[in-house]
Amino acid sequence: MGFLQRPVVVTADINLNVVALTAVGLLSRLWQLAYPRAVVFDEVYYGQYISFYMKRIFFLDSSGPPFGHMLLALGGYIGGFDGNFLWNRIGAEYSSNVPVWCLRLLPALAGALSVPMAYQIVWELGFSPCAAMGAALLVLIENALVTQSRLMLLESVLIFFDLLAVLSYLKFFNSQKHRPFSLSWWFWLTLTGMACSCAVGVKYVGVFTYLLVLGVAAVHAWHLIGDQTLSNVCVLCHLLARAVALLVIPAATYLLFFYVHLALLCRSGPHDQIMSSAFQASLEGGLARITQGQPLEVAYGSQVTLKNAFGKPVPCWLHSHQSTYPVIYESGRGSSHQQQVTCYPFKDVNNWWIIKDPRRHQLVVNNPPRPVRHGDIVQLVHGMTTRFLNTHDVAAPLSPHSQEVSCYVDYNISMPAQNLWRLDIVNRESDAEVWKTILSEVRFVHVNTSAILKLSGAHLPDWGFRQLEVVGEKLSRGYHESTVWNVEEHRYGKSQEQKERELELHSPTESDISRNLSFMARFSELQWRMLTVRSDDSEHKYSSTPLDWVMLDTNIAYWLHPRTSAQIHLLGNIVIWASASLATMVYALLFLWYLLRRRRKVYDLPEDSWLRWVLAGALCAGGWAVNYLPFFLMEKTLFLYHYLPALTFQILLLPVVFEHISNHLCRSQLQRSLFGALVVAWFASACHVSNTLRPLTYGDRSLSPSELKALRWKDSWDILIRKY
Amino acid sequence: MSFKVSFSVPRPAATPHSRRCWELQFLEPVFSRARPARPSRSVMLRATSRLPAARAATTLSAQPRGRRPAPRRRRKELHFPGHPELPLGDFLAGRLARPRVPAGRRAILRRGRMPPAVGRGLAGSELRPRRGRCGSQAARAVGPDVAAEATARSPKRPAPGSRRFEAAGRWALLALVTLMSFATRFHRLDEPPHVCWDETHFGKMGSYYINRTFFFDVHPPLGKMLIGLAGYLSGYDGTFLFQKPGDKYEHHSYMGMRGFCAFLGSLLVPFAYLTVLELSQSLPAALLTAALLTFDTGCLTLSQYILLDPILMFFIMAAMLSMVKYNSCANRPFSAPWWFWLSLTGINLAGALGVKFVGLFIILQVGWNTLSDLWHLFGDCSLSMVRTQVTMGKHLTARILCLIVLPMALYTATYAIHFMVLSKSGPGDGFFSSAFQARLSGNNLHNASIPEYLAYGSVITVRNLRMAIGYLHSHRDLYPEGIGARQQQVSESSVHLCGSRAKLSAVTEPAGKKNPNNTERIPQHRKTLTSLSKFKADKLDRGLSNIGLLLIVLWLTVLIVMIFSLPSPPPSPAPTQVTTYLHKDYNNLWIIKKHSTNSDPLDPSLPVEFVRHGDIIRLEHKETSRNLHSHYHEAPLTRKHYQVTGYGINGTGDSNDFWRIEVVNRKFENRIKVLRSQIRLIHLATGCVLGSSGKILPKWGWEQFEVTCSPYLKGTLNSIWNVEDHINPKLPNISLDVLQPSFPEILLESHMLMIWVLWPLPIWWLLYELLGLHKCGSQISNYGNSGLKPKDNEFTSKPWHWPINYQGLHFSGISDMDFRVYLLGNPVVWWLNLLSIGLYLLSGSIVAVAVQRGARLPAEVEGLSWVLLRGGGQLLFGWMLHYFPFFLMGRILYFHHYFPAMLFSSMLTGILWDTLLRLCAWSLACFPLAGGIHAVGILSLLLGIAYSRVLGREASAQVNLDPLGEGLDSAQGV
Repeated sequence: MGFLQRPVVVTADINLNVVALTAVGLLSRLWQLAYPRAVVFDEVYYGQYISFYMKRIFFLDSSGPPFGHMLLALGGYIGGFDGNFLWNRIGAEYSSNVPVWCLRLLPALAGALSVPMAYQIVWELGFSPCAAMGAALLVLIENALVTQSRLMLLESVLIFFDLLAVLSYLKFFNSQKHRPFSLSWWFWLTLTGMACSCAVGVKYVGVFTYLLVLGVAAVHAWHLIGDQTLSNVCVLCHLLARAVALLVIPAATYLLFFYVHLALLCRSGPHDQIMSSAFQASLEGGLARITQGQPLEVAYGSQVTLKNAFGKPVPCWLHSHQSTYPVIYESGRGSSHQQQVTCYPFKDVNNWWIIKDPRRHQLVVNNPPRPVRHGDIVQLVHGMTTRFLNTHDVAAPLSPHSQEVSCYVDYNISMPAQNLWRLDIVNRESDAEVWKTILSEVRFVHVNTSAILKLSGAHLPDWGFRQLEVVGEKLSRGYHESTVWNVEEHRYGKSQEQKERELELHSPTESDISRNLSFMARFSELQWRMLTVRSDDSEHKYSSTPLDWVMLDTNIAYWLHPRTSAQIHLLGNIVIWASASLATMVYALLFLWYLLRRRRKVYDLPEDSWLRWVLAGALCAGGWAVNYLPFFLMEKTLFLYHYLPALTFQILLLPVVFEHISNHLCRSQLQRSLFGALVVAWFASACHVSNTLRPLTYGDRSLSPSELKALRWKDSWDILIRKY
Repeated sequence: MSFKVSFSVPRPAATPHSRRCWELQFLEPVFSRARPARPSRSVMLRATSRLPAARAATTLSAQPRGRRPAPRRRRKELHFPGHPELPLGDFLAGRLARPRVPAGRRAILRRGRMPPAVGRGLAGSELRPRRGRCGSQAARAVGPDVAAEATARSPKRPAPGSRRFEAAGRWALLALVTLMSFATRFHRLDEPPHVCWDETHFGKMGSYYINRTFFFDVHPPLGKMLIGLAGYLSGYDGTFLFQKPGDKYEHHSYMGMRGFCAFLGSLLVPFAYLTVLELSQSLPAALLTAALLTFDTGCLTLSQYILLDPILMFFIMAAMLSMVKYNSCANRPFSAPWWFWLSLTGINLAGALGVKFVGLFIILQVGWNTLSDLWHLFGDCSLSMVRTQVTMGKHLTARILCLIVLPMALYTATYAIHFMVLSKSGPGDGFFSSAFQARLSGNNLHNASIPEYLAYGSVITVRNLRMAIGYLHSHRDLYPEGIGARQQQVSESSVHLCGSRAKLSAVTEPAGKKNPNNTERIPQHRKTLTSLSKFKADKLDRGLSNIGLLLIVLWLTVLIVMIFSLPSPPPSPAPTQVTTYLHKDYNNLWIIKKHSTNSDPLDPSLPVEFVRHGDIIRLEHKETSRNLHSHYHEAPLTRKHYQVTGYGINGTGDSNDFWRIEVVNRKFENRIKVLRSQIRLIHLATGCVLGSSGKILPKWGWEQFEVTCSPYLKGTLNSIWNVEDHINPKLPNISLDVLQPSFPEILLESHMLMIWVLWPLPIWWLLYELLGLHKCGSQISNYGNSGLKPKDNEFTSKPWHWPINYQGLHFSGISDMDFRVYLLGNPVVWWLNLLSIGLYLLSGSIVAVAVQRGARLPAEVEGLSWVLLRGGGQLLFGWMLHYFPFFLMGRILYFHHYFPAMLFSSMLTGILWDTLLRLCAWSLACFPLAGGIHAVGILSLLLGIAYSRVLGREASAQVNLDPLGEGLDSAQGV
């Protein structure tokens, strides 16, 4: 009965600063959130995915993992959005069924919470509340961050998780000194891992922050190893805990995103084509409707369509038709003049092939069916023309170093049929494996010449109807997807006569079988496609290069009111941008100076403030560097908003540098006061700039052309002025 | 103990930090207390500190006296402990002798042994303050000292003969290694007597040097120059064509060039041997490395042909070796050997970079090494601040001189020679600006003269500033149906460079190529009739409505009438196609006119009026009399840009024909100087800027490059042009020589060209591409050479294929009954290397953690782990630098790109196994035969490697080219 003896006490520590900052943060981000009731800039892009989620249609977006899209869709779910909106152009009015406020709520909340988090981070780094307050206020009044978080876009969410990861790591690191393995220690450690994986889950660039946190954690762990007051077991426990929290948990969380994603999106849709047949068959509708109930094992006499696994330039099926190769090509080389074999990107009756046993004549399936196994020799008979798939030592039309593939026509000119193919199942588990529909990836090796049936990817000229060229690749070593085929549609052939068979080929397939890919297989395929699908890089009016970002040499016009000249721009607070860049430079120079001095055993700073200075630099300047520099190496089209995560870290560095200068470089009280006054003046000017640019941030006020012209402080800024 | 303290004289200059920690842990307290003063030769002292006092006394007593004995003894001391003398002695004389060593000496060997690297390697450099020689030479010359040391140390002095024997043994070993290497490389060097693989490129380029004809390649010239020189010296006359792999050399002398490459390739083995010896001070390690490289089939094959790789690898290894040597001289800065090795490092860096840009990686490695070196120097607190500043200044200057200035000077010098030697017009002309071409004898611009400033009425050609894109061009063909307005095409054409473009070049050839400089040749673009009928057929195919068809037929008739009866003006201005084109022809000529008037500016009565920055002009196509025109229509390929066409009749068009001309580099006032001024053409009505998208038009555009008007006013080179040919009878001609670029400009131009040739990639990737592509560059110089290229037949490999030896490269003999050469590593060697890297990471991290945990390692283990961390670390770093960047690279990569990295990984293998076996022997020291483990292990590794080579030979007798086999069954095949 302990609680009777001692009173139950609840002590609450409320930092009013944080509360106040949260309140103003919310106010600045949520005010008139639904206002331009029109599609603003990239909302047009993310919106379509929200619709897909609402309708539960499968899609593939190579720009990032699904977590960010899911968060946006969550907003739509809360608002009861049914997904019925055509996201086709920027500036289109939202119809009444679109819950704009709800859709924009989550990014806005994330943006608002970044403000108190900036405070917390600087505080946890060991700097004064004043500096912390400064950092938070700068984040609050940074126009670009406000614009970006008030719309249905992902950057603010990404920044939120980036900051959360850093903050929770700092909390964890600080509790490490006092109470390792306590509850809060575990909490913050786990939260670090979770936040990291969320950041990665929102956008791939989140991975840079993750690596930064991992790097800092690794350095700290290395120090821990060197700490000889700890026992070996204790060190081991520490290392294990970090490994689990920072490696295993993020990986698991990342998988979880995909699990939810795939669980949600169960219907087939426009992006199916990119995926493999097996993946498509696992979606409702689409291919599943066709393949549902096909026999699993391919047998002699089976009628199949063969799809190439490579899928580039387009997914296509092995195809043949009545036309023959021209006797002489344009280049002057000759051909065999036999029937063309191509790869055709559309479903067609000419895509059907029959698997034939070379030792027998029949083209129907026995009862019971005799399955085809790995290593068997087969012939492939084209269903409609009953000619045999053949290759020989004749140069292919467009790839002269490869063999031509044809359907054999006997012209009685001493060119015998070479139509035996050995079946090679690539993804077999044993050598006696049976050829399975959809699941087996097979290669066809020509028995006479060892050539492999391959899609060359070139488009044939007009005589080949612009279909894709299929060749026999000699001497091909190694595995390449363009040589791999799989059976997509499949049925057991029943009709002996050609006429009946043609009828049979024209009829849709039926019979029953269901196939389920495991989650991991679907995940790995989806992830692989996301990383490899290249959207053609297009030039954009507002694209920019990383060099333009540092001094804000560019802007993006997000939206223009259809009638008035009210407009929204992604345009930063230039005072903050410039001084943040300056602060980074000052930090780097000071750091180098101190480092050299320390090397000479001159210790300008007391040890603890040196450590704080280094940690702040590693996280803030490091955060800026890892979020900025990699863009120089990226091939894709870049926009100003890609710089925002880096900018946020840079802003955090600003008060840190100020405080350092005031504490360590100002020698007298007078200097300190002067410096303080300067900082206040500077901050006032930043506020002023922010207020001046406010109409372009919120787009709530229509400005006159002269006012707009006055706002164009840099020639490179593109501010829209209506010509009346 | 106090006795020893008194000897702690000169403190090592730049003792690495970590080493200090170790000292602290291992030295007696007295000693460590003495440290702050100026402790010294810690190695020796430490070593001896554990000896019985009497023996220590004998060792040390000699020191204070006279200068002469001291250095020798020091060296002796330093080398002996960890060092190869013993292993060597044992190794050569048979390990069995070892147990007979008296107990006292064994004690020295075992316990007194210093961390070898501490004693000698990187850090150890400081330990011999006044020694006359550098560590490097010491490594070789160490023999005599060994014996002396033995005499000093052990009561039983070996016979003086053994000293000589050991010295001779060292030299003999080096000679043996070199001999083996040469023997393997030169064995059957003349086979096959036909062109193999890339010999077709590099041999040809060697011939160009001999013939002094100008060519262009994406690699710097040094390697090819050396090949040319070797050919020249060996009597090759440059007449062989090197047309395609498989061509027989017949009577041409090719052995000189092959011999030169094989010579450099053979030197790799002794270089690797010496480097490992220097890093680990262990002879078995060095031998192991040498064996790995000698018996590796890949290295062997790559060294035997006329390729850049042996030259490149030679310079890389030489740079590495001289860097390591110079590191070991660090204790005697500014001595002759120090300068020698430092400048040799610089020279080799220049060589590496001058052969291929892959040389950048070794530059990075040396740079990193230099930085850390300086950092240690800087942290040496034994000197006062002022003295440090002076010393630091001297060090810094020396390094800048030798490692930056010297290589740059040499690199530039190679280019100077390159341009000097290649003075005749050749296949590379078309890639360079006309100003440059004017330098080449035989080129039609040589000694030509043109007016200097642009005036109205001038007939000009306009060339895009982006290299290899070409001249603004127009011809009578129309844009086909459905692509913008059916107006005259404006496009660019060019030599097509790589991959798919190379194929296209073959197609374009009939239309364009012949001789890029042949101004006389009129292209076959005038086949208007054929193309028109083609359009008709197209349209029929598409099944247009009858009315549409009628209209089109009508229009076509009108067009035909218009074209063939030019004097009579057609009823409507029918705009035609505009393109661009690299080769010179009449359709590249434009007349520059004022926008307002159509009067003939060439009228002698009018004064000459120069075109100035900001003027509004019209460009009239000379052949078709149509104006350069743009409008709000999407361009044929780049949908976001506007289409550019030729429009108007006899120069009369509309306001969409007006362009504002802007000079980007306005250092020649506001006038426009031929060849030098960079201009932009801004379309007046739409505000877009004329540029080339660099995309190739389909057949209807003759596969020339698309010209567009881009609304995005980004200042890329695509949208900048310059004026090349210039004809204006009213202006005085000046000689082009005045405009000839200076040498720095040529240098810059050729480097820019190397970059722009690999166009479609963003600039950040280009560097990598340059490193990865040599095919492309070679393609350029022989792009006209169609025919089967065996390399087309292979999948280009991926970086991850390489270390596992996944698939090789066909060097020769793609057809069946032929002499076959296949580049593939010896699987035993390569897999051993791979395993070693894994093992190294494992053992390295274990050691590092142990040190960080403050574990007390016995002296011997400490020494070994030091070798592992420092020496091995450097090699691992080298391997990573030469391997990982390839993962970032774009497209075309080949197996042979891995070989520089492979050299590093072989050296690492040598050090790793030697160290591991020593550790193993040490940990089993209680067993009598433990010492043998090391010897047996090394021997079995050596034998295994040699045996695998023999096996490989036999296997290669039946080269098995099973298309499905993953290809580990064939080595260098015959």
